[in-house]
Amino acid sequence: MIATLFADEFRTTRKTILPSIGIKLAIIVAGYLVAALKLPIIGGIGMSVGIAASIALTPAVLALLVAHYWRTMYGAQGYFTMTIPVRGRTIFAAKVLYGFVAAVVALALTVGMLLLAGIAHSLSQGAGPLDFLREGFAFVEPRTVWLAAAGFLLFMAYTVVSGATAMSVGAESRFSHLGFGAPVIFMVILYFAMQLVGLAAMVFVPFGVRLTGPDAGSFVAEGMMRDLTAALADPSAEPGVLGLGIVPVFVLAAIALAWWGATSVDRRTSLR
Amino acid sequence: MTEQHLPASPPAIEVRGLSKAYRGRPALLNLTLSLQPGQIVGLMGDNGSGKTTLLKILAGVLADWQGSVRIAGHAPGPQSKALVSFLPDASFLPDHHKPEDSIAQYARFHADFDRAKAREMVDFFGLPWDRSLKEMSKGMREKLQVSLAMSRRAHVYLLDEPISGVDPASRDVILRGIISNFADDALMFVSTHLIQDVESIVDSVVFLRAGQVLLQGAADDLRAEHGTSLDGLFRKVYAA
Repeated sequence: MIATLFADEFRTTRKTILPSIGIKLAIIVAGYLVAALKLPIIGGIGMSVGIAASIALTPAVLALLVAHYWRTMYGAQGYFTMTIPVRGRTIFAAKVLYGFVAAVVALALTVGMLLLAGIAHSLSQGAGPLDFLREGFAFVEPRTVWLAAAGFLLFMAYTVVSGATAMSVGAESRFSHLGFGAPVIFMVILYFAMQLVGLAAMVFVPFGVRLTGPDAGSFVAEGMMRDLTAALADPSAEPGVLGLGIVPVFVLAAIALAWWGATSVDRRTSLR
Repeated sequence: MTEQHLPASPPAIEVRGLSKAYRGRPALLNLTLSLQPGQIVGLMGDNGSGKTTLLKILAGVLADWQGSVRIAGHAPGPQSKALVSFLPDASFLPDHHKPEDSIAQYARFHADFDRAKAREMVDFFGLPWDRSLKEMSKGMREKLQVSLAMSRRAHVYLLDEPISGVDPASRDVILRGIISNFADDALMFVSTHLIQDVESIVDSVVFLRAGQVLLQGAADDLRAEHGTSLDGLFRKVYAA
């Protein structure tokens, strides 16, 4: 059933998501074309518009997914969704999984469009199409790229799960009188809580990556406590380690939120 | 369609001590009710009497209640949803859907859904196949939703105000569509405040007031006992 639900998510969102992506891609390509051709007056604006639209792609898709989730789970269409003979957690899983896949596709498009910006910039400078990108990547280690990619994927998973959970918990009968305000309040509280917990994890969890010295880039069993103490004594001191304790914190938070959201849909769904 | 049930036949709906409150305000108060299959039961009551709340709980779309609820032999959940067809008092289909889209969507998720029957009902109601719901009137949308809900081979049908907000002629057509597609061994529990319109089709009635059963019985018995129609009885009881 989860495959049917997943396929239905695509079927019901494609009419809003695909045109939205299509329009943005058209704007981006047109902007870059204008920049690459160095058209007078609008040449400079084209690059800015293209980059802005590229960056906006993923948040726009996430916003459409939020509207879809709320409408099909707790709006009038929820009366169809919630009478499908499956457990609520199955519905939640299908929606979260689809949201994650859609967000990752949007993110990949964003990255692709930003690379295209590099090509357009090279062409506008009269250089070879890949020259600018080649120069940029010369200073980036492949390992850094993989770590960044993993970080973005984790962030996307966390974002989708936390958003879905916020809406499901916010729609429970005890909060439903607040309407969509309840999920917004949930997200604000969650944001500040995660900032605090994440900061504490970066400082105290003994897991980090060395930033300086001959072993820069290697993982170390150390957080940022020592750097923090040094910075308090001497504000000009440079940090030597970047605490990665925030990574397991976000993984655990995503798991806990997924459980909370699934349980909420399963046991506490209350349609208005 | 009524009477003569085997004593061993389990109730299609059995509710004991059901209470539900919205932020402290009671909607249902220690409600107890037992309904046998094979009949059409009218759920009647004034505004705020708890009709919709009761149907939502039975349909499994409303949580945080106290008491015991069994529907089609199960507590509200996936197993009961497989046996219960719920028609809410809301336009729950996407605006861009045409009738065939909604039929396909029902068929994907409900194993007991009969596509051919749904198409027959859409034709019976004279709905346009080429028009989206956005382009349909409220009455047409209601007819499509009735077509879908009644095309499931369910054990229990829960219909929440299926004829409210539509003109009298359409009400008759909708009611004809409902009763002509209803299996004899199923239970239909239909809420309405338009008692005159359903008077001729209900086998028994449940009157709710302030979240409790005020009166319950076979339609014929109540008419004979009180010497008036159900509509007259309703007016008398609720005016008191």
